[in-house]
Amino acid sequence: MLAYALILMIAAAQTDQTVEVRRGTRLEVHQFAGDVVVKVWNRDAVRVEAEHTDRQSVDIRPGDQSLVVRGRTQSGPSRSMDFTITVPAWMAVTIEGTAADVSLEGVGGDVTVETNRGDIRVRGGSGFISLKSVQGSIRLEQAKGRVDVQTVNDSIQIADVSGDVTAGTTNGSIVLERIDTSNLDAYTVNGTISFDGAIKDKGSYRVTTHNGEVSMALPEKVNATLRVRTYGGSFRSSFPVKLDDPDRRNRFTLTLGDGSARVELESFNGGIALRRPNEPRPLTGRERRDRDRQRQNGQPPPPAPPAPPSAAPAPAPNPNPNPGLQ
Amino acid sequence: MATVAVTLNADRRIATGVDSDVALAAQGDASAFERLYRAHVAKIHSLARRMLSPNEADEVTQDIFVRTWQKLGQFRGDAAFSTWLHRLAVNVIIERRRTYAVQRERISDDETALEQMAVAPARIDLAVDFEHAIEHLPAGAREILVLHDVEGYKHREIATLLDITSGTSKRQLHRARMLMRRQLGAA
Amino acid sequence: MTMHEEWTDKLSEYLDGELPDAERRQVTAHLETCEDCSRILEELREVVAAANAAPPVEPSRDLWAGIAERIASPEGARPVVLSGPWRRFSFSLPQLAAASVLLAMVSGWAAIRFMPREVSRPPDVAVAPPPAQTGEVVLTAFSSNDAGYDAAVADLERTLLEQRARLDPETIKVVEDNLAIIDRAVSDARQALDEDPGNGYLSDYLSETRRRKLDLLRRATSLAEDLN
Repeated sequence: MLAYALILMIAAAQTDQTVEVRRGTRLEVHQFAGDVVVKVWNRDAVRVEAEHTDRQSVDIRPGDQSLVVRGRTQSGPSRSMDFTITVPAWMAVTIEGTAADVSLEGVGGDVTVETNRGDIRVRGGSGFISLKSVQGSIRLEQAKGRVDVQTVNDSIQIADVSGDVTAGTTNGSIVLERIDTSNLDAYTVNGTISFDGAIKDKGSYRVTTHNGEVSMALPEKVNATLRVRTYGGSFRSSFPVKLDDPDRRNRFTLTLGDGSARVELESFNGGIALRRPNEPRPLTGRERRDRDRQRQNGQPPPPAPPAPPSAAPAPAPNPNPNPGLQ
Repeated sequence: MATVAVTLNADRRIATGVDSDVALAAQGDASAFERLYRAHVAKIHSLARRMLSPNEADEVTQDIFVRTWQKLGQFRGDAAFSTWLHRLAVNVIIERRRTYAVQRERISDDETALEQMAVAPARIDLAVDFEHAIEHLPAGAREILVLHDVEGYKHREIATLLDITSGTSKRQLHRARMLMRRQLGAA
Repeated sequence: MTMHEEWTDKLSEYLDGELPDAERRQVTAHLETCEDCSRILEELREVVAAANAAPPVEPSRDLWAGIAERIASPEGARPVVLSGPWRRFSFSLPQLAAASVLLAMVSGWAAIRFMPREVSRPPDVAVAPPPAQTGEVVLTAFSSNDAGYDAAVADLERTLLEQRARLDPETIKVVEDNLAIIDRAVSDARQALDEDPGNGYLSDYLSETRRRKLDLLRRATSLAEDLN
């Protein structure tokens, strides 16, 4: 979980440089360890602030295509360094770091983030959005374009996003809310997946888990062919469904409306559950454990509870003058 | 998955005749390593326990010794083994606190955050012992108190270890001590 | 900050002998007239004394067995020094894209699903070149039969083992735990297929799950290689 609130405040920021940039330049940040926070402003310039010790320095190198920001340690092993970078909203951002928590707020271009141990939080993004972690969790909100989110040992949350979406993890849950897509591929091995979004005609939606439940919100009016497959799990629905073959409850096809969208829901050991969009989604494994632990110990609630679903989808901010990336 | 364990004799310059268990362990002798473990585990475990929490101490202690085994080839013998081990332990602990963001407190000059978090309401009037008292300190202040007052590091060294300035280290230490004096119920 | 805090804030440094001479003299003088500060100073002294005297705490149980097991496992492997940079087949992304079409045709595996989808974009959105470190991708020969898959996995596992020294133990553990999770899923699917051979769904699912394992291995090896 990323703590937005506390920013390292030593007496004075040790690097604070602002560089003018030409439209179309991309920001590239290379970091060994430490947090990276990216915010936006109206200027065609990039401001780099960094907290570090005097054995470290920040390399800011403007080039033709990109502005490269790199944390350097003069001697000894690499040390962590926290960055706060303010960029123009149009700027594409690439961040690469081993143990960096990354937080982007209000960005409006391509976003590429790759980290090993960091959590990634992005609000914004337009174009190609690729977020990768290994041990960290990923949350993406209010983005549009081609979205690819991958982690290994933690969860993914995506909300208020439009465009093609691929979300994958191995040991974590995936929560997808208010998604507007015609192409979805969500998969995990150990974890639940919950999807709530538009099911568009002729769209393709694939949701797969091995140990965990798949929960999908289906509106009343929808044109979709649902292929439900579970090997050891069960199927349930909060509203009546008419199965062609009532004896086969673990592998069946269900046609709704004209059946134009293709929806594939697979859970090997877990179950498949259908609900209506206004019904709350089931808790993820972690949320359930936290709740149980809280009940047992009477302890204070776990930090960073998931954002509650809002009543109506919030429109995504769109600094890009050419909307309609799909 | 392939389970090949590779042991390589890296370039080692260990003073012979001194710390022979270290030399043996560096060459792969697990019994020698066990003797080193037994000689140092209490100190390392205490460090882990105080810097992180009693819950994590056992696991982190094991991580530290496993990392020690892996890196023994890099020990040059130019300082005491115990110093080298201790420094490695501190590094492992610091890496670990970075990962567990839930328990992580940023070192900050925010006074209200510290004051609010520090006092355990049930214990205001009781004199509690040191181990319990430090558990109630916020993590950043606790680490510095442990490193400086328990382990004897200087502020300059702590600044390097924790990526802060000496000034912050001094301020945090002072705050930790001020909070502790209430916890310990000093007369 | 109150007037009085100006004094108490210096007491730790005073106690540790870290104040410059002039300030130290000022504090000493202040202490002679201020009961509160003198009391606080004594209390701070007691905190430091308690810390100095804190005895080592033995673990509540013997941890050696767990350590012995880990150092005997691959985790206990010490760094292998290779004589030169490890070279494998590596292709740039455009070459890989072309190769994957060829591969799909050769292996008969439905790789179509995993090829980059065409996305129409407005012309003035900057197209990002792939970041340098992920621009090189290892081409792993993949086929849908067991032998091809096993060979690909073995190749990546061997590389990862050799590169693992560059990864910290925590990452290694996470990668291995997750590979185990996938292995169990593969084994579930394989067992189910054994019991119900010719089941198209199961056989697809098995392929899918194996692909996940390859993806994870690739990601882990590229992580190790990125560190230099």
